[in-house]
Amino acid sequence: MNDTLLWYTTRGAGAVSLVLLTAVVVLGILSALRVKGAGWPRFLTTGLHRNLALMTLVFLGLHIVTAVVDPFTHLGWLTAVVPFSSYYRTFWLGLGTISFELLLAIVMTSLARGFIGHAAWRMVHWLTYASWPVAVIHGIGTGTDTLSAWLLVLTVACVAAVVAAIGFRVTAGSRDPLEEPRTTFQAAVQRREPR
Amino acid sequence: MDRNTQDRVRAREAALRLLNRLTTGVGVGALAGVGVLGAVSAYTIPGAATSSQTASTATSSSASSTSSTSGLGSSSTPINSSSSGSGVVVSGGT
Amino acid sequence: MTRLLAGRDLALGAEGLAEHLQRLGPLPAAGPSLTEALVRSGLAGSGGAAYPTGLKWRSVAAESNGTAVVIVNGAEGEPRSLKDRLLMTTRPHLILDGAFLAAKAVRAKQVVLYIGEEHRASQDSMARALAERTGEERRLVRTVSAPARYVAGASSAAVHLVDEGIATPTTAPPSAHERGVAGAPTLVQNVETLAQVALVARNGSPTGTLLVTVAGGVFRPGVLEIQAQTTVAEAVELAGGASEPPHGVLLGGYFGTWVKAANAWELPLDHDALRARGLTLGCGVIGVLPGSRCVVCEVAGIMRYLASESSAQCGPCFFGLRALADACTRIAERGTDPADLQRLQRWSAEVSGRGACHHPDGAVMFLQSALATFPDDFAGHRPHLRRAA
Repeated sequence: MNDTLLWYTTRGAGAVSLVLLTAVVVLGILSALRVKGAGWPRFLTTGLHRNLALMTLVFLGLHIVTAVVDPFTHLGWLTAVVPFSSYYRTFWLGLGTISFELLLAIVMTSLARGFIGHAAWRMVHWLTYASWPVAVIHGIGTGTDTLSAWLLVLTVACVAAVVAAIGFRVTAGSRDPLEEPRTTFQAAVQRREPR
Repeated sequence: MDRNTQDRVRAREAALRLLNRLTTGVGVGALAGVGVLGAVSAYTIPGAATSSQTASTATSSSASSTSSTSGLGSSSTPINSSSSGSGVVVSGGT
Repeated sequence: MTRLLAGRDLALGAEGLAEHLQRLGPLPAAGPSLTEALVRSGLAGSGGAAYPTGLKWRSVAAESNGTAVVIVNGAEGEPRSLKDRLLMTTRPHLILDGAFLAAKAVRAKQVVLYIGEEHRASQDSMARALAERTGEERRLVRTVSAPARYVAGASSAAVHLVDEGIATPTTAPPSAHERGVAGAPTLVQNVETLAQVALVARNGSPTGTLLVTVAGGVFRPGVLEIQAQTTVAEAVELAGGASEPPHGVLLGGYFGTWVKAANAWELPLDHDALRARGLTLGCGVIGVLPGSRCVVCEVAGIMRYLASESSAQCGPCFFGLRALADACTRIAERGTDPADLQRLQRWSAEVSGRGACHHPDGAVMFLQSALATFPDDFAGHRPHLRRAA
């Protein structure tokens, strides 16, 4: 039990992070669509979205730490924050770094929404649509030398889920008759500069 | 509190409990997933050592990276911790 | 006997710090004893919900570990209410005293002044009063403008504005006293409640008075400070008396309840007494509807206003209230149609309890109260030859 344990943990945590991130994206889209059901109020969707987003960061942390700590990979801590700074699979790993940093920015701004205001928060949150596909490509690319059925199946399932959710949003969302009055109201009650 | 409010408060608390249970469930599932998917990758990916060997030969001059990993690697590994440039790797299985 | 509005003539404007201290003495220390005194006194909040103040403080203090936030609610979004503005422009130091006492009692690290953006005189007065306070007190304070919308005055909207930048109300958990601004336990108090606290701290008990706004068909509409249990008749008398025999009285503002004039006069202006009769004192607005105005048309107008003030967070409120308002307007402008009366009942039941916040519930309660109090007016309304102004 030694370095390969680290390496398998990296792969396991990476796959789990992708699944979690996919769930977070889908829940985010469902939140925007204000879905609800019996015994499932709207705040459940947003609450789960938030909880799983934080959980994703935890497992992503595990993925990154085990990858860097593993002597086989020869990755320094720098590669976790500076994209394209590794020798090993420079491009694909770099994408992972980018995806991680986008996710970090999204979570940080969400936690500090009171400071930065609603409009700024919304703008940064759109970066989710960049972070997730970059994570998917990182997953496929970094593991191409050892691409196996399970990873492929997992990736396809994740992509299918997000595509379905986006499709649902695009078709059902445009029919939301509350969207315009809601946005108008929110614009009217935004925080102005205090005296 | 009138009945209507009481019902709503109860429904709200039930939903909150559901949220906590779901979060915990996903957390446990995720931890299990790391183990399961890690094991699956162990079975489906042959020759893990060879792939990392090709990686390490390319990193002979990355002194900073090796010094940071040397102290943190698994202590039971039989390879020499200062793998700078040596490119020698021993397979993990014993 | 102390009163909230004791001291210099109200027409002379805000009471400065020196005068305030000379009249009432220094600000007493706060602590658990003040919270217990509030619990014992049974003081209820003056923002409309009449929630026991001491219990609220206890909840927030229990959750706080030095991170709590106090929000001073001076939004006064109820259109006919004037009492909060009067307090802010004439006795700002009572409010600030109460706010800082609350901050000590719940171990808060911030006090937010949430004042209606359209209440310029109140904003100026509170800012000037704040400038007179100690540096330590001033450093705690942050001033935020409450948007000029009806729902922005709700506690949850206040917390939402301070925390996330938009003043939309909600009933989603957690409640403010558990996790409010930045996840910290948050205490939201109306300015009149805090003014009472300032006097409880000095005298051991509240004043036994409350502020009401008499509006509508009276000769001297405006704010009155009345003893508890004062009747509606006495309050109307103090406001100069009714200008003409009224239809009835709307108690508690636009989320309030109607009473026929004959039944209203003997009613005591007290939260518990009114609640026992299925009525509400709410934010203390006593709206006297003159006999020359039409009940149905008045109700329709208020329903249109409440519908237009929906935050459009959910269908039941945005569409439901609009449908109810439209039906009321049809009755007002074209005369009663039994189908519309049925719709009012049906839709009221469908809207109640289904909103993302309490706005639709308040509007439905207002409408149901009107229908129950003036059934004949609604059953046989005919369009007027000339619209009332």
